[in-house]
Amino acid sequence: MTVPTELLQCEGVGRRFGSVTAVDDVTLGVRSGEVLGLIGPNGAGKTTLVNLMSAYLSPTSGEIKFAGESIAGCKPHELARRGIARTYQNVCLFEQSTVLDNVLTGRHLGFQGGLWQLGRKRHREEARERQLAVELIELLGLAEHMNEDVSAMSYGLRRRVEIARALAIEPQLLLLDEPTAGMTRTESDEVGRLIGELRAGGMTVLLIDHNVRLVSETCDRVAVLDWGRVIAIDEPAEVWADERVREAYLGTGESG
Amino acid sequence: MFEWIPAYQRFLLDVTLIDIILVISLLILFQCGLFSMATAGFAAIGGYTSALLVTDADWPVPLGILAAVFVGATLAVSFGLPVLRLRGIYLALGSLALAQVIVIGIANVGFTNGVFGISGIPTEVTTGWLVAIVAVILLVMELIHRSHFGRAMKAIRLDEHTAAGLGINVFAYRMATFGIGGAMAAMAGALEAHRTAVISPDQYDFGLLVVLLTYMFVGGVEHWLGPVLATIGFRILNENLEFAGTDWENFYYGSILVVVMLLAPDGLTSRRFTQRLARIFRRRPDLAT
Repeated sequence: MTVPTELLQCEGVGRRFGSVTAVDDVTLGVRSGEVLGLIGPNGAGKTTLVNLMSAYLSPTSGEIKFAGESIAGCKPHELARRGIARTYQNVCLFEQSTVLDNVLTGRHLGFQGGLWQLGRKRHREEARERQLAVELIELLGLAEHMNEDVSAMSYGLRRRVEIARALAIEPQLLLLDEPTAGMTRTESDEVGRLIGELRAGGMTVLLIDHNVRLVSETCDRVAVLDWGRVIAIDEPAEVWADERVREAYLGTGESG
Repeated sequence: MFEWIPAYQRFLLDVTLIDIILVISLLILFQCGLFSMATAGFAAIGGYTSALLVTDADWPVPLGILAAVFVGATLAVSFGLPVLRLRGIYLALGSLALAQVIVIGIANVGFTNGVFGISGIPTEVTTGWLVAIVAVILLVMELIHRSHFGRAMKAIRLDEHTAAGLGINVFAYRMATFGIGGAMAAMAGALEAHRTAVISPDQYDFGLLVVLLTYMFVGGVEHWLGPVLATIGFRILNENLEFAGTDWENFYYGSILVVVMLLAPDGLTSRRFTQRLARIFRRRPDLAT
């Protein structure tokens, strides 16, 4: 058996905000082609970790490597260029724009033509990118909402638009920050199925979610974060059985 | 080419065309989400650069204007590096301070002839020049609007952090627009100097900025057509209203701005407002089904 290569590596990563340590000495690898779940109680540091991985924050200690190279000093747009896409816990869409506009904005890196490229060539490029955006919208089951204003859409639909937009940059690694929050059961099942399809297509996914069923069903491994530290990382069944994980979620009988 | 137009109407046309260049130089900054008020300062720099080079150093007028464009762009880029670290209201204040420093500086140094300004500047700028320049600028604006550059600018305006997450280099876009905006404002200043033959610091005070901001906000920042139509509309209003040139002028500018901001916060040509209008005029479907 070959040792799985790690697409993203966190080595002793820590992030402090003043006297608060949000992420503390996290060593964690996301293996190529896997779906890694990241769970933990509220305030455990999950979103901070994703912000570190997408260069929205820089670590106060340790190092993050993507595809073997350090991302220290990288700006978020450079990381997107290198192949990391993400969604946001509180859904960040371009408001008062259509679904198509949102996803097409995600295709920004696909455009090569300069401002002076006119006529047929420009038209072809625009048509090609538009087609790719439309395909993603269809993949997310949003075809009938293509030209709707995202501001007027339901929470679950907005989350799907955001996933389509993240996929539009054709990432190697997709960071999903609570993609099913606020979704109905059917909707979150759809997302689970989609993650499965992406995995089958060779994408690496980091999934933060509170939905234990979804995480169990879609993730190859699960990492549990508590008070900024990784307290367990293993296959889902093993993780649920872990004493420390039960403690973090349910508390112990002892006080203190 | 435009000699058939009566002199006064031609004068109005010239003034409007220069205003359009200034409004567009402000607009591209707003399209990138930059609330910058440095436009008047760059216009003054451009006007003085060309005026001094042409009158004192005997440069030909077109070369003077080109020099103004160059100086405007260079200044904008060098000031952009520190100023663009600011956001929102802080950028507005920082850029306003920059504009004021430029104008007050011009009024207080010797070689610009201080508050008296410069007169007898050669006037070679014709309506034909202005029409050609504005046409090129608007064409480029339309090209930007229709390309992924325009989409990226809109994304930055709506949410810069999310835009960055999609691979858009927010800082590069902002620097580029700040530089282009500075160059365009400087060009407008130089054209104005070579149109009127005189230039003085008080032309570029806070008042000009208020007028330009009014044109832009009333028109809306989504597309260049809005501010251009607003500029033309205000010029026509100005010519046909009796209180133009009196203190009431500021009053009506202010009132129009307030009313538009209440009815159409994103400007009269914004999608939100046009859609709302369409809804009002379209016959509502019968609700009692």
